[in-house]
Amino acid sequence: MKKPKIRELCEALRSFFSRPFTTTFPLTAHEPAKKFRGKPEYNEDTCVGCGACFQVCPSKAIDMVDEIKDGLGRRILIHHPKDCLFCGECERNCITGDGIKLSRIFDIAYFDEKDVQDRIEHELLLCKHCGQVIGAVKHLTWIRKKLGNLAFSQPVLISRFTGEIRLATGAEESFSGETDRTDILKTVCPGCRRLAFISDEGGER
Amino acid sequence: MKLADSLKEKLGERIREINIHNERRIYLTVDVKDLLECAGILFREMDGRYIVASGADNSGSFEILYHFGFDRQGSVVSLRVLLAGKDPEVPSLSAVIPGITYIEREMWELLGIRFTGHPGLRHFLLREDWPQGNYPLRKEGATEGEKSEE
Amino acid sequence: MKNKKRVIIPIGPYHPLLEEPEFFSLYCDGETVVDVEWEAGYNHRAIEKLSESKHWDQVTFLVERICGICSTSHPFAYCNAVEDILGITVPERAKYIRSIIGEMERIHSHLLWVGLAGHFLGYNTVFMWAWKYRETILDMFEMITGNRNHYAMFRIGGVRRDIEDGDIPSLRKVLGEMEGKLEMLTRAVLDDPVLAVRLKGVGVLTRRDIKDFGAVGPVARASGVDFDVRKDDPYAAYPLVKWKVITTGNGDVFDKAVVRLLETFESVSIIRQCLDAIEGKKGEIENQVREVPAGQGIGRHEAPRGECFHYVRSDGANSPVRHKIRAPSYVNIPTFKASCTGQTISDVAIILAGVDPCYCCTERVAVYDAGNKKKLYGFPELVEMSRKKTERIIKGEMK
Repeated sequence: MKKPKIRELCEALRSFFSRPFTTTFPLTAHEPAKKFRGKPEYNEDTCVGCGACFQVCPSKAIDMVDEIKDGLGRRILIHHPKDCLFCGECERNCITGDGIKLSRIFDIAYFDEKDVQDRIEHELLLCKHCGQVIGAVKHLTWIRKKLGNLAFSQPVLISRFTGEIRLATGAEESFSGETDRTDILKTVCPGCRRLAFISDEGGER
Repeated sequence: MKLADSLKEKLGERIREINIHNERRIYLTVDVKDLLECAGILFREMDGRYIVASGADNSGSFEILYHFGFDRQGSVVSLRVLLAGKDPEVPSLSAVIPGITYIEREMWELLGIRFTGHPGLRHFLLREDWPQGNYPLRKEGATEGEKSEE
Repeated sequence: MKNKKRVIIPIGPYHPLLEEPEFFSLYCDGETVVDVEWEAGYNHRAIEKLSESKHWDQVTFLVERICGICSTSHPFAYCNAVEDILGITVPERAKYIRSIIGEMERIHSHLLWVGLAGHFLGYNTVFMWAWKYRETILDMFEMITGNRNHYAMFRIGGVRRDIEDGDIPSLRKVLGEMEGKLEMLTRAVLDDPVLAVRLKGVGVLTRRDIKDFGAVGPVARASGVDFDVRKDDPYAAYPLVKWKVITTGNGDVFDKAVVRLLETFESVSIIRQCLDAIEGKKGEIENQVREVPAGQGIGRHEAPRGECFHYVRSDGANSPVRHKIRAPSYVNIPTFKASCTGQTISDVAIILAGVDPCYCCTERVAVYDAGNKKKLYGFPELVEMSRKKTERIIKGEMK
């Protein structure tokens, strides 16, 4: 402009003498706001492995893998920052309230994605008859605790309860061929329990 | 006069069905043969504002909703036409509403509805060499996407 | 018949100067534009189709990412649409919070636009200053919502996060400072004689043009069409606070700039009134929604660029069965046919900027030779021509 007006001149002087708006990140550290939505992180103590975060994630950034090997089950939940929206739906829908929480970590550039993934593993309870997954052990324990006395209506939860207060030898439950009525009270998956309900003591449906 | 009554008066017998969802959302169903006339009445005579048109695949038949804004009443009036058949045809409204050509091109390429009398029905959003007959927004064309492996 | 060479100038689709890919073909006779054609689709992401495979609450995050600048407008309109199906309203505190977020977005979007317009005209200082002061708004967003863009504040039935009393004083302070800066920018635009020559009478849209294309937002209000969704189809806290719709009459780029700048003052006033209403009080921020019954709904929001329109249909299942999204730029950009015809090539860049296309929905411009289809100018050349014209005006060669 040929003749800058006084207020623009004042503004120019103000800009010249004030601190720049840019910071010197990464040379200086950056402190994000208190409520900043950064990378979600699992909490080893409070996550129960229910998989709610996996179900609600809008961008499918959380993978839930159930591995069964040699009769032992393992559930692995992996969070991928490359797909994450940092929306906080996982935190919001976590059934325990703080199994997964958004941290304030924002600097997650990587060469190898595995360096920034967050994983948590849980032991799975498997059906003693057919080997299918019933659920994560910690999840079932959490449900049992939450239900209190009502937990006694569900045989699997009973076995979780009795398994905790009595030294479990692990060899009590036996099965003979087809499912029969007595299998209702054993640690079985919903599929097997359904078959057990429609059978009689002799295994006849 | 309330908007719904005013519509009934102006369009009269042409309205096949009227769905007053609430005071500000009115859905009118008309026949395809009356479409041009009704759109002209809504756009010119009643001075409605063209908002957009939305086509939908009802798994076997199609429908198009032409949305008009009546801003003094803060309402949206949607003109609905039902189209039968796999390759339906509808007269283009570009002579009445010049700005509607783009959404008609989009509805043609995504749903396969042909607009007769359109000044230039060609691809708008999809690339020029998109396979013919492949209409992505149709229900039958839906395929579950696989999460890509890194 | 003289050998009239019709020139087509292509601008786009991919260029470092432009934010998103776009494509306009300008057909020129010498220096004058005679026709414009718009090609879109370089940024097509099939969001309407994706919507059909996402749960109702997940769609909010999907549509938030349609645009980065107006990232609240789409969730706002979508939530209004689903709440229209349900026939519910949100709690009062949620209404105020929604309006606060919407208006803060308007301020930052208009500041961004002022910067871009300055950039196209050659006033790079305006660009730097406008974007510098925009940073304070973005910092406020980070403080309240957790992110500078994509605020993840909206939810069907309410809002996801509350605004705490502790954050309100900083917000008020920023608004106070913002008013001073906006005052400076507005005065700079209105008083500058060069801008007056450069922008007045350029890219005029008549009321007839607005109606033919269905243009909305500041583009329409600059031509005297008094339409604002917030006033005509009230929602959220807009009917609960006092504010006015800014309309001017000339329809040129200058008026569009004036409308946008004056709107920001109204936004500051709305935010202040909303903060007064929620400070020191407690309230519900969500009406819990468990399921969406079969039906159809239409939701709208006055985005910074105009009316954002969502049509949602449900069949009672977990996902929408049809989701039609119409961003305001979809109807604003075709107005180039009317506003660029008869203008000189050097004005095209600023007319383009005047419409404030949210490029996420649109593309860039290309100018070809109509006769031999040779590409004559790319977009940087057009911006350069625009800047040169400004310089000529400054030097006093043009009146």
